[in-house]
Amino acid sequence: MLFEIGRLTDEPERVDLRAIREKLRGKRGQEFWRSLEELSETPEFRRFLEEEFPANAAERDGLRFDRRQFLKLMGASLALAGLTGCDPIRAEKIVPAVKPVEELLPGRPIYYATAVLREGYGLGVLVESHEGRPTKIEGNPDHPASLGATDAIAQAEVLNLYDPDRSQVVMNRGVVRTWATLRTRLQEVMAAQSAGGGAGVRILTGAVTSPTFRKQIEAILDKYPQRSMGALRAGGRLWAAVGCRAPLRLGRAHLLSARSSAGDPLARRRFSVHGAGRRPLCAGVCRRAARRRRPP
Amino acid sequence: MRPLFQPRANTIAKASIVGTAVLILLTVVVLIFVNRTSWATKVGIARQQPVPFSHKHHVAGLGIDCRYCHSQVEQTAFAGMPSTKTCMTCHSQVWTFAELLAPVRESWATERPLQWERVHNLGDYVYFDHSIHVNKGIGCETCHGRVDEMPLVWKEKPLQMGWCLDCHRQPEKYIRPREEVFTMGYVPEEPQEVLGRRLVQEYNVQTYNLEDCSTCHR
Ligand code: HEC
Ligand code: HEC
Ligand code: HEC
Ligand code: HEC
Ligand code: HEC
Repeated sequence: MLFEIGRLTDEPERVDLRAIREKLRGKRGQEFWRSLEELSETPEFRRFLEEEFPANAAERDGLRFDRRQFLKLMGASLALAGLTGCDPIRAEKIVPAVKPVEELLPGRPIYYATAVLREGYGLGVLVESHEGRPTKIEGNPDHPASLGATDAIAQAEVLNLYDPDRSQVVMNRGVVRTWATLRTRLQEVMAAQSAGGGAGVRILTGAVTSPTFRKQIEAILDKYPQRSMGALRAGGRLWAAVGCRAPLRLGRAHLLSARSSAGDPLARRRFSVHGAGRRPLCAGVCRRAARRRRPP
Repeated sequence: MRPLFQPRANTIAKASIVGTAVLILLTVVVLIFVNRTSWATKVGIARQQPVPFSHKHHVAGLGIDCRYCHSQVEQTAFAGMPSTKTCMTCHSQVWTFAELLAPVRESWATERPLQWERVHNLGDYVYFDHSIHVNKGIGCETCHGRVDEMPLVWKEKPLQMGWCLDCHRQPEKYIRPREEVFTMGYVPEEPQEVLGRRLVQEYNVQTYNLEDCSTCHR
């Protein structure tokens, strides 16, 4: 148990860990610790200690460091420590825009009403943006699925924008390419595919509810009749129409099982509406009810 | 053998102790003094700018309001700086070929912003907000001086903490009617003591926390 981590170098071992492990095997409690003590007295282990933590390492490596020198250096560092405060305020620049952005007052955030994609549905959110940089996502009170609130995943969505793993440019096998290159290459590939009716074409998407996106996909489907729907489903579901999930009316319910809401675009609404109808002081009642209704 | 310490060692020891104390004190005094010189505070020293923009010409000469260029000074902490477009509204018509204005035209053509040298610069550990001062009747002139007489802007006041506090302790000495905030060369119509006290009442100036450290250092 003590030496379970595998070795990360190819150096020969200076202490035969395997032998030590062997010796400690099966020992428990007092016995275990006594064996450890014995081990630490063996000559190999002493040698290992000497090598690993030499008593006069500094001297051996040619560093002389006695008390006087220590005091000298400490004195100097103490005296110089104050210098870090002597940093003059550096010359700064004020860089106004070439053309002012309408509505933008530098120093004051702007809130944009927009949507983040959740299982193919848009969740209405307000995005706080400082000088063009989004910093915070909050729910949009006017959006029926958000009602002014978000959940952890929507909150974290803003980090996606600053994800260092997100490619900023077109990459091909680790080499930066232009969008033009990508387009020509894509056209070549698709032209070659149309000969076979698109038998090799696969589209991977998440859940899609956008009518526009759906139309675009359908256009491709029509153009390449040989594509198979199976391939399309490989990456996600193609949802037939928008709004197929009506918001549940839970306003008067007292109990709501907290199923995983991570994938549910309307989760926020379900919980908020539920809360609105709940009587105050129902916590105890709810808990009792929950106990009663728990499936056997 | 001669003794290691002669009798005069006593005097030397005393002198060096006193000397050290005096030296430390002197250093502190000199530092405090230097900190107040215009060399340290940069008061009265105009800065070279990429374009020799003259407030004297544009404000006093042409009578342009501060807010035409520093447009957000009433709304945000930052006073705002004119965009290149603001200059070009006029300079696409007047002085269109002036050598002095080449950087402005270049900025307009290349969409690269002008970079003005900052004249007033508080440390990042100080919070300052233009909007509250302007809305409570503190004139630009009180803090920036006669900008309309500056060919190039310089600092008129040291912007040190003592200076801020001087007004925060008694804003009635400096406050003016809101209509006069942008006026240069303002002279109060009635005695400042009377007017100041009335305006502090009228504008509901909150003086109870103006000296708290956390008002400016947050
Ligand atoms: C035509 C546009 C224009 C007008 C009008 C104008 N300014 Fe300016 N102002 C500028 C420009 C451009 C700068 C930057 C160049 C500089 O600092 O000299 C500037 C800089 C300043 C600065 C220095 C900022 C710093 O770097 O710390 C102050 C203070 C200032 N203006 C105050 C005023 C006041 C007060 C008024 C009204 C009386 C006014 N300005 C009117 C364009 C204008
Ligand atoms: C309201 C119109 C207007 C605006 C806005 C304006 N200017 Fe001017 N500017 C003028 C006029 C008028 C002159 C003087 C022409 C003359 O005297 O012959 C002038 C002159 C100048 C000069 C010549 C030097 C001098 O001061 O005599 C410079 C440099 C200049 N402006 C820079 C700027 C910059 C930079 C901006 C933008 C921050 C700006 N101007 C905005 C109208 C304007
Ligand atoms: C209470 C004092 C005070 C008043 C009143 C005041 N300013 Fe300032 N101004 C400052 C200080 C302090 C700074 C430096 C701010 C910084 O470094 O963050 C500054 C900076 C500026 C700047 C540079 C840009 C910026 O915001 O940092 C401009 C432009 C400016 N002031 C214009 C004006 C104008 C125009 C007015 C009148 C409407 C005005 N100021 C009124 C104290 C004042
Ligand atoms: C000439 C007078 C004057 C000067 C100089 C002055 N102030 Fe003020 N300051 C005021 C007044 C008046 C108020 C408004 C108090 C109120 O009613 O809230 C104020 C309010 C403030 C506030 C509160 C803003 C808020 O949002 O609560 C801050 C911060 C502040 N000043 C910082 C400064 C700093 C930093 C300086 C020095 C660089 C400074 N002030 C110089 C008069 C002044
Ligand atoms: C009215 C605004 C204001 C208030 C209130 C204020 N300060 Fe300051 N303080 C400033 C300004 C402005 C500076 C920057 C001075 C400079 O740049 O020279 C400063 C600088 C300082 C510094 C110096 C930092 C340095 O590196 O030079 C210290 C320390 C400090 N303040 C402490 C305090 C303490 C403690 C309080 C409360 C008793 C306080 N301040 C209240 C505006 C204020």
